Amino acid sequence: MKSIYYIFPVKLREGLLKCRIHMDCLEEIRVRVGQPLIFWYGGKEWYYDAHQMRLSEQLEDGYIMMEEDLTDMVMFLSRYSVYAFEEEMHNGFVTLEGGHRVGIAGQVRMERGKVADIRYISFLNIRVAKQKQGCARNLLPYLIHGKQIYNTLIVSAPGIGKTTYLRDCIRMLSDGTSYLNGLRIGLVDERSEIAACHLGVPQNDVGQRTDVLDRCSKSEGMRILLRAMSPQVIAVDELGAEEDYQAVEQTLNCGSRILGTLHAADIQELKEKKLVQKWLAHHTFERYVVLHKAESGSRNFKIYDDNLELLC
Amino acid sequence: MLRAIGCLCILSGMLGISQVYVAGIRAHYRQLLDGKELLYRLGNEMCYLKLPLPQLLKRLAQTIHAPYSGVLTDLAAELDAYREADVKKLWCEVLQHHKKEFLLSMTEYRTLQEAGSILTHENGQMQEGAVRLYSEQFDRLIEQAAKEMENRLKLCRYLSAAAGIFLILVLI
Repeated sequence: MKSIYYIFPVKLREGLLKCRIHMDCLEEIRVRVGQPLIFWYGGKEWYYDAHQMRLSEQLEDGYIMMEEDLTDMVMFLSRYSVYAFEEEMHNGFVTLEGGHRVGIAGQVRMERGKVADIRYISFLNIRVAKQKQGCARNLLPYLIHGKQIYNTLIVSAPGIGKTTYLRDCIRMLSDGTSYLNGLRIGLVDERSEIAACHLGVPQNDVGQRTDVLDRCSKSEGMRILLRAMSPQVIAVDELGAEEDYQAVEQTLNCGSRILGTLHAADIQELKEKKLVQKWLAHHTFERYVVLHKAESGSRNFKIYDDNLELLC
Repeated sequence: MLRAIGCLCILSGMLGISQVYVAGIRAHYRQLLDGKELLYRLGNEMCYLKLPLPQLLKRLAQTIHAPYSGVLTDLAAELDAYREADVKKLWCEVLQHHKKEFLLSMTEYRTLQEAGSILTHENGQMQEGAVRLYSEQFDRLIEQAAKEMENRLKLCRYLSAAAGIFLILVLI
């Protein structure tokens, strides 16, 4: 929590510390110029009452964020080094120590169709990192094949938790379990979502045998890892681009295994994806794990084989 | 015999004093050169290494001479504490704290204070521009100090010799 408090203006920090906010219940903090500071806490919206130094449900108690507050916050979250975080800011987020992610919005300056700069940063979304260690414990036995794993694709709609499942699989495969020795994992973390590296150091537990290539494109990252780190498994999030196909083929030709994720709400949507059709034709992936969110909020999974036949 | 020894003592004493002054003048010049080196290295490392400022300052502090090393170490500690958002303000505060260690003139010290704005720029091009600007200012100060240094060294030596002879004449 320290790394989150420290990005707030000095005048607010003491009060926020006094609030005794439990990190387990805190989901995100929304900061907008001229608007009240909002905490998503325990599934509800709360306003920060700077006078009473507490969270309040009353809008009129809410502390209104000033322009200079945001200026200070940008300075703190970049560790006084906006120049060093230029690239992250162009991508719209900065990862803090602890894996927490700060989304950034403001006035964008475009240059040749790409984001050249974000000026007047007026909106921040601080998303509190939560690792759900052990969530993929039941899934892992279905992915193991001898001393290796099946080439596996974890599939779900956005927000269901495929990245969380992927991270947990990586951690367990890397550390090893009672039925599998630890594997050397090469992780291409294009958006810093899996390992959440801060200054090159993973903030999330991705296991003792995992090498992370942070902020690198998937296709290039897979090639680099193959050449440099000789991984037994290459893990990537959100496959789907045409160039990913080539990189996956190359990885498999080199004898490494692939553990990846892909956006698709269900098996039907999966079948319709052109890239998946190619993979299905070549039996590239041997296991497809489709995640669903139950009404209770818990996650269930179904496992399909390389012909998309339901296994369990 | 005693007079001769007395004369020798006075002369060597005056020579010692002049050496202290000479060392001071040279240290002043050295500090200006170190200041310029600091600006260059700071600018280059910010542009090319792109390390966050606290890390960069700690790294530089290990390889640069005092009193700059102390300034950088203290500034890095201040930044790590997130006490204040304005880096230039912190730079000036830390410089003020170390002011006694600097042998710089008021103008030189102010230039050094102003050079702290290098730390506040948000992108490489602006930083390069700022480094160039303050480096040129330091170049001028160094040039001026180099010109003055020879004269000051001569003056220091002549004055100490003259003072020594005067003392000998008065005392003996």
